[in-house]
Amino acid sequence: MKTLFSKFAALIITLFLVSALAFFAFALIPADPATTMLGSEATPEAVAALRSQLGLDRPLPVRYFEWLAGFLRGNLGESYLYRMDVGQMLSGKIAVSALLTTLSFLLTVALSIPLGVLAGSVRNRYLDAAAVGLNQLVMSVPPFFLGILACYGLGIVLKWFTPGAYVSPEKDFWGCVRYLIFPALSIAIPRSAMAVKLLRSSIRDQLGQDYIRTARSRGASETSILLRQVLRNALLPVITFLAVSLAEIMTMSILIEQVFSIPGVGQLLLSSVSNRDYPVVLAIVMLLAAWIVTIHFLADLLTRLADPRVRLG
Amino acid sequence: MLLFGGVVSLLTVSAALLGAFWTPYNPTAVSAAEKFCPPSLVHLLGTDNFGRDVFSRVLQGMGASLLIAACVVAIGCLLGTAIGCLCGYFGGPADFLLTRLCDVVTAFPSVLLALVVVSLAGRGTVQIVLALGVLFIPSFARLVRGEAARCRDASYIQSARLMGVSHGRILLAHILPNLRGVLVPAIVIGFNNAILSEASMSFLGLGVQPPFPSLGSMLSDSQTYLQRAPWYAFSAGAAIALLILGFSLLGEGLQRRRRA
Amino acid sequence: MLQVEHLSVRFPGGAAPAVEDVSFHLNRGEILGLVGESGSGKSVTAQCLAGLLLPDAEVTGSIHLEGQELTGASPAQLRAIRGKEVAMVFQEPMTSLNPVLPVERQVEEALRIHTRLNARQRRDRALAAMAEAELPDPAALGRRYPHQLSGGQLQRAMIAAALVSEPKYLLCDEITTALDVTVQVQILDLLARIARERNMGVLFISHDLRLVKKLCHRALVMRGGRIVETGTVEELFHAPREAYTRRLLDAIPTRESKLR
Repeated sequence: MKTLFSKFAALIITLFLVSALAFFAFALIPADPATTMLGSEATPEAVAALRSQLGLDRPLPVRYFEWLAGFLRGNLGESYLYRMDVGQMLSGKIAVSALLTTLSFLLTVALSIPLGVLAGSVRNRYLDAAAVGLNQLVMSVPPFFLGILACYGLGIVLKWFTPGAYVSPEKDFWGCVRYLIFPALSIAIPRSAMAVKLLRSSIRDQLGQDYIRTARSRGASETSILLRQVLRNALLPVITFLAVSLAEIMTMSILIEQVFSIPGVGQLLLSSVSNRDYPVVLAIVMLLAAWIVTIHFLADLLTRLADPRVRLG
Repeated sequence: MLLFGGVVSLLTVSAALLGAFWTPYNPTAVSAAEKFCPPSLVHLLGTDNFGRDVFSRVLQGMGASLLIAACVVAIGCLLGTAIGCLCGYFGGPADFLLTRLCDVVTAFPSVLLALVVVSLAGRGTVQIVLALGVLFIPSFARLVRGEAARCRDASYIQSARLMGVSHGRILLAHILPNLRGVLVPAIVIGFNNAILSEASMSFLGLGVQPPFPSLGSMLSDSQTYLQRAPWYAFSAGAAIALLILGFSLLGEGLQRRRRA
Repeated sequence: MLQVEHLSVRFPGGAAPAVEDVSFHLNRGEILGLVGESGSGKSVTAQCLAGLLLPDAEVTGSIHLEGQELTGASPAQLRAIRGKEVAMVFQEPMTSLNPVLPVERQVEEALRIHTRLNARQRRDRALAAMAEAELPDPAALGRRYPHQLSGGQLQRAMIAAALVSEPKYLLCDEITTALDVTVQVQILDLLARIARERNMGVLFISHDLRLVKKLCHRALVMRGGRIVETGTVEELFHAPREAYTRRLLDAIPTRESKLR
């Protein structure tokens, strides 16, 4: 309980520090947003007027706390480029990206655990070497390249889907899921390969433990030993890996959204980076950072819950 | 695994080296007559939308990827080792703070951080090398810190201290050589991550800028012509995958040998 | 009766056989000691009886359990006997239990495998076995995890887990070695009582001759994979025929035996 509390305190402090770091980094960049917005021919008076309208003439710490307070109340800021509320710009896109991330995560779990168990239980040396080699190969394919391969092979050649013909979830939810399956697979397959590798070595470690010998001495079959004794132990490190994967999946989906032209948070982030629309970049980065820090916190918590040695001390 | 990884890495590195000095065609030579030629004996991997030889471009792109990865890893490894050594050896509040900071930074995917840095510093080859280099410091620092802290408590270091050897001399003569075991696999794996990060950033158009050839931006360009010239995308993507495969196998093999 | 005839075990790559031409028998209700220094083949013999050797170990000779031949039996036949007819308890109680499962769940494991009892019946039998192994408050203790119990408690739980399916023979491989001296004595008393009450044959493997002398009826002395001497405990301890047995006896600290 005490560790839980201190972990939670650390989470809050980390979020606070990350927000401050991000805010000041974006506030200190040389480009003046007022000049950017009005163009280089604007009169100094007009620039000054806009600066005070945007609140840029006030001291940084004041602006930071105002921004933070607004952020916590759901006011994510205003886009320089579109003069639009960032929350509004994000609203539809977050749902798409969340759907893609969820699908990718579920596919990763669904692929990696059975395959990892299979890889961990292979006895034949040559079969094992072949599986390890194949796994290493799959791990090496960057998701965005896998996405392009999927677009070509499954989209253009086999015509299972039309690359670029994205359907929004409001219009047709299942149509959207059907389209997102392919980008989600492109993210999930290399991720699963990493998880399979971890689970395989974790199972190997566990199979050498004394308690396996005990289980054998009771007449348990190898399958039941694997599923009922080994798996719970072997999954402990994999749980952490999979949870932390949510952060990586999020980042990978920025790239994959490009490949499959999915109008999600990633595309907005990229266009805002290109357009130097800092309030939007700052808001998205903060949201992603909060998500990642929270994921790490939850992953830690989950591992503690799953392991009685840690849970009960 | 070590052997196979070594062979693949050697092949990719020598191909890249070859590309730096000699390519079958000028990788930037445009030829309107030879647009979208499929792979043949004339153009081993075909040509792209400007009629440029894909094989030559891939060779150069691999060189660029490796060069950038080398710079990134060099920055990350040198600064990371220095910081990690000092933190691990001296400890204290600075060590505590830096370790926490490293923990936080390593929690974030490097592509996301690089995106932030590029959006602040602008795009460009130098920016991407510096950005990734800085982002690679924490992982090295963390690794080295652990090892240095373990060395500090070893009895031979303690006895060296008692004999009046200076801190600087202990760091250089005793601790640094001990780091080789953890650093060599970490450098190889770092190479791997650097290649992937650079390719991702260039794919997003935020890394290496044209006309400098890069596998990531080639892959991004090729996507437009996927239907007409799939070989362009396959070649660029396969080159990235091959680079990563070689170094990941090598890193894995080195780590296994270290553990064994 | 458990009868072993001309048993030899050879591991791949091993120069000499780990066990060579070993013959003995164990009656129900009898406690048979198996002594010898480490590496003498004691544990291999026991693991061979329990069928726990790696599949590539080469076993010759015969093992008869109540008239049934075990060498050459199918894995499924062996599994049906393991834990049901012959149970085994190991040296390290701390690592011999699964760390992520509650103790009671592990005590009843053999019933899950060998019987069709429902969860409630299994639980009742498990708690009864734990009480028989003299564990205090089995219901509360059973809900706890291995890391929350002491070594002595864990070893009693292991014995309870072995007893739960009412085996005819119990193989004890150095089960007291990892325990405190006072706990050792209690465990021996427990074994003696259970063997008597259940009419169970116990093979007690130990390198500690004092324990064998205190507990067993007959004993075998092993050295280099062979049985060098066999006889009742009185014969062995008072009139050892073999020089090796005499040396083992001489190695017992005399002062301590006087104290007892």
